[in-house]
Amino acid sequence: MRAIIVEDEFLAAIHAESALERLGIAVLGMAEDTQGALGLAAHKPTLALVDLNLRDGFTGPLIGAQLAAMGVNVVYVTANPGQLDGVNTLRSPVLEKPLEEHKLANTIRSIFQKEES
Amino acid sequence: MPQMVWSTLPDGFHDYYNAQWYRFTGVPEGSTDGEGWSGMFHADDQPVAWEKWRHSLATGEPYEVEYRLRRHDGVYRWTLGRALPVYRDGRIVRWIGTCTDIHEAKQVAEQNEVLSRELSHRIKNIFAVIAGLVEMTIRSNPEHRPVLRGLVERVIALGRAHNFARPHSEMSQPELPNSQLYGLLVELLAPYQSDNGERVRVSADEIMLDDRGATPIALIIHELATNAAKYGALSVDSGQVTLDARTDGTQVTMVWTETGGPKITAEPPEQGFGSQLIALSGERQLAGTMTREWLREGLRVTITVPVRNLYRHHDSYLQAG
Repeated sequence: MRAIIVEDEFLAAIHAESALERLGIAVLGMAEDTQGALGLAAHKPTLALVDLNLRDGFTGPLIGAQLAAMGVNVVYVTANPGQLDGVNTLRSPVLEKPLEEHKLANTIRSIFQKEES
Repeated sequence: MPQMVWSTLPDGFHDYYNAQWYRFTGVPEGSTDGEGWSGMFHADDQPVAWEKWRHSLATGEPYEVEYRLRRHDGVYRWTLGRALPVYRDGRIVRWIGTCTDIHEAKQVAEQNEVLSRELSHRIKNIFAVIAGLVEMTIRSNPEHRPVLRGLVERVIALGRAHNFARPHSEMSQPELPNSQLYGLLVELLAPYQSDNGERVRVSADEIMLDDRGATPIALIIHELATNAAKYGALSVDSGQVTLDARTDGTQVTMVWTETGGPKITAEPPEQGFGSQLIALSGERQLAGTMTREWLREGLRVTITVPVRNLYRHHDSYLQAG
């Protein structure tokens, strides 16, 4: 698995990156906004951790939907899951901040299992 | 009279409104007699108002409802409606009611709720930022990795406690799972749980918890679990932990019992930082007592803390009761 992180708070992104690396997942890059995120998509990631409020506004849900349309497994990471009500149309998994590694690991495991079956 | 006053016959037929009602609503005198009043309220609020009104008429219980009343300029304003029965010779002869404009107060309460939620999200974000800061420190100081990783885990445990520690407003108060000790304990031990749910067993009485109690409890349980995972029952597949929290109304007693781990032959000599943190949280901050028994089959820790140190509303509750 190769991951990208879409998060405008770089220290929160560092935390996510460390957590992914401990799970043996390579991080291809980090982006702070829509343009950056879609740019990273060219590197064909298999997983994207996406925050909701980014440098260019409340763009996370749309970025997530666009990445998912390209076949990327999207996991939203947010301090405010309620903001996804009605906009998480693809029902991507949601994790709360601060990110907990066991929950991240479980979520990724279930994505893998789904892909294999 | 700033309040709108109305009155009905025993069956609920509205036959009187004061001048303020007509000034506020701007409707012609007499036009809201009978059941005409209900059309003055927002369509979304009418079913609740009717239900409560019928209930009061049937039982004689006081009527109280919040609904939006149409002002003369067409604007709906939040209003508190109340009514009490008037008795003569043991029979209801009239209902006297009032309507009070509470629009501003209601808006302020809603804004406070939004603000409080926003702050709560920012606080959660800050835990992620702090965790990232420590992770960055690890990258340039890999020799300190074990110590700093422990710090990250403690910060995350505090972040989890925050969900349970945030001050509750009137509106968020009913979110029960988030204000009970049981919920916090389950959440904190989730990383160690097995798929069949048998590795960690938590049971607890209904014990309320707020910001006073959540942080020290989170630190204590986090340290116990971390130690168990390193040296105790959670360090081997066959090990189990049970955590049982009971209260007699004054004290809460939590018993942490490890079984099935490596056999204990002697009490570990050193007092690590984790143990100090447990002692400071349990004995200093919660003013509780703690005993550790190094039984052959595993560690048993008994923590007893006063209920009022977990939940500060307990005091006012007792005074009120």
